[in-house]
Amino acid sequence: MVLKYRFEGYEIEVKDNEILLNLGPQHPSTHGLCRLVIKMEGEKVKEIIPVIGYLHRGVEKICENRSYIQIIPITDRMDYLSSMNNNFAYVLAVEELLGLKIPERAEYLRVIAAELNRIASHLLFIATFGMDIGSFTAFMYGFRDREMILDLLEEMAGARMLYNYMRIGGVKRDVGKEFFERCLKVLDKLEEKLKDYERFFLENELFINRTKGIGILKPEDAIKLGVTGPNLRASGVKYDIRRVDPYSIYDRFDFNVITDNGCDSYARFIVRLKEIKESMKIVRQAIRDIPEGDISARVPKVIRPPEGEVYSRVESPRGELGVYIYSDGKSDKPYRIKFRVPSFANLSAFPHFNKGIMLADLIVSFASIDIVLGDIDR
Amino acid sequence: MKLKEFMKKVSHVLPLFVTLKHLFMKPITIQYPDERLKLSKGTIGLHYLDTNKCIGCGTCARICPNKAIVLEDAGVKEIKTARGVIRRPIKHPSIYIGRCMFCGLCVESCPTKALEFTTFYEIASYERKSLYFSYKELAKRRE
Repeated sequence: MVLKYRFEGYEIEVKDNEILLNLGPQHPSTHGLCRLVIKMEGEKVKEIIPVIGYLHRGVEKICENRSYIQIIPITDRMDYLSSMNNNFAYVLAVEELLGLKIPERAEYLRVIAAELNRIASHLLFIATFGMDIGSFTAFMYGFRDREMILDLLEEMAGARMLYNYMRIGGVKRDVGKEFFERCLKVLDKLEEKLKDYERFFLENELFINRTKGIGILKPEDAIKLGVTGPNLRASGVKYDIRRVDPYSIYDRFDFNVITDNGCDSYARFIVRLKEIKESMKIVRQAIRDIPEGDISARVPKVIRPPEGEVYSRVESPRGELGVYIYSDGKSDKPYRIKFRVPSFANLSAFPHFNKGIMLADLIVSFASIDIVLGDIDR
Repeated sequence: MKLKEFMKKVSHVLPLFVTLKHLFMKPITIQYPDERLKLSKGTIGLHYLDTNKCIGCGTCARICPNKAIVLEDAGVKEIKTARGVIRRPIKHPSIYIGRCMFCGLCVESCPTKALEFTTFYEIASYERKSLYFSYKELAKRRE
């Protein structure tokens, strides 16, 4: 007997020896509100259909009714684990539209903020990944160390998660010398802790057995499916927008693009762990080179860009984050904004490389692509 | 060779030493209502309104993305001008904190710096009514 199920525009056939399992939307390992409908034969996964939209707030439509400066706090709320990078992408797009030149100090502050946020985001990935494979200790460590970075960002922007720090033409506020000293101290401390992480995970046979060879994403598939960020680099493709298409002042820093040829969950974990170190390198260099000066260019109070369209992209912790803006040149509100978010592409690729694995491994693979549902649904 | 094989066998025990090390560390959690975390200088908390400085221009109400700020009549105020003291009706901002997302655009846009942020963060309440902060309540200094 064949049963037919219809939902969300999908039609799925279930035979006698198969079952249809609903994972989520309220599930601890779905990182928000993601529903996965899984067709299984015994323990084996045959088909996955991600159902999204549970966190939809209509950000793109809201943006059409807000002036350019009012949109910045809204971009915070898309990928809430890397708000700084969201701000960065949006602000860069508007500046390109206006043809603004940013003071040096502001550029450096932006890079420091974005990289600190990347460290915080990757630490949270380590925490939640540990949680999903059943290691509660890792969860505690990750959150503990993320707290140190959040304290720094709190001093910088005034908030712990939704910073609203960058402005069109610069940044919101300046930081003093003590901040940089504290920042370097925290980075030194974090370096010590990272050694603990390496001992905790990479020498751990249990962890390796649980993650190696799970969810293999081949490089050619990854490129075809539009996967970006650490997930793509874990498949061995050397692609980082900070290097390929340098924005802001990223061409001045010396850092490596981390790749791994493992293509599996383990590789994705290692790439992120190593990227923390690279980000720390960038922050250190930025603190060394930061000049004195203004933190904001002269920008009119009401921003009314000329008619035109622009697409700017940044490397967010999850991949390529692009912002498309069309301005009609008449009003102080954008005519249309579109965000190209990395998590969406990564989740879309997810069903293709996880056919035939066990259900328990599916959770590991799902955790390793590090998606944020606020980003996907917007 | 033998040692390597042996190490591989016991490698899942090694991470235990990391956790063991943490056993002797100071706890990092705090007992919240009794102890409090030290906040940074620039932490954004509840607004504070200096009614002497506020000129009732309404810039804050206009820039608020969530329209959380409304202007409320604040009686008649004496204003010093070049021609002498004049009396005129004035409005002050009141904030519906339940709608506020603490983006700080109102504080930045204030021309006389009458609005500022305090570090008071315990605003949670059982009633929706008490989330409305009139200009009189905003003018109270909170720690």
